[in-house]
Amino acid sequence: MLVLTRKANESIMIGDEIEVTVVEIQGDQIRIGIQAPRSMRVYRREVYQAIQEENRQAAITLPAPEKLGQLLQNMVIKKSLGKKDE
Amino acid sequence: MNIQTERFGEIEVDETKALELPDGLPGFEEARRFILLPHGEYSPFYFLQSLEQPELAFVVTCPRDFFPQYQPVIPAEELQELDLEADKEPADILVILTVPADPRLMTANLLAPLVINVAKQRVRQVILNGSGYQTRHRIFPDQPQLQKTAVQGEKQPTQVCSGV
Repeated sequence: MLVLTRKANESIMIGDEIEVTVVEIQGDQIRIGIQAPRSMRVYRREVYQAIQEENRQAAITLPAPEKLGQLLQNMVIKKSLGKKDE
Repeated sequence: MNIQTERFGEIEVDETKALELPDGLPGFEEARRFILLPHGEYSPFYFLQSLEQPELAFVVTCPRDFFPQYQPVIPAEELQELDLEADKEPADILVILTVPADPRLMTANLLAPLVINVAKQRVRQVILNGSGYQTRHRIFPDQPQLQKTAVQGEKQPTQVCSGV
């Protein structure tokens, strides 16, 4: 990892199209401004990681079609049993 | 064309219906082409099957089948990436489901829906920063209430949220 030290209002260029600016420093929080091409998505790391992890979980635990079918059947039966007269 | 899949064996798919994911999905950045397979005529579920990796598939659903109040605000840049216009009709949306061993506990990722340009068959998973949605929202109400509140929506033949 490249580590640079910046003060408030100083910037870093990443390639030609990305600029990262230290906007403000308040205590232990830093406000960071990012200029990047619109097509480049920017996320807090933990958010992106959470999505990655959730996608992986979803792919790994993919149920067999029959299992989903059984589940739906149970739901429909329970719904009709519990149905109130309207 | 025929493709190999881990879950469904060898299946025949209409390649012209392939969905393109220009950036793949977080965690699966190289997976660019998928096909949407209905689970069944009366089922709200679909399988999003990779055309490139037989073992890769997801269960997806139209979120409004289960969460009628779900109002994702898709950032304009994301819509642009999909060649969709912000002022026009809301984009077609599917959400990925995570299904644990007990499928009644399955959850929907409302924080990062799949946004679809149906006409161009292009899809992106969009992360709704700051929306307050989570990666795991329970699809079905808790067990004890199941008989009273039951499943949202009617059990009728469903189209994917406007016919993908």
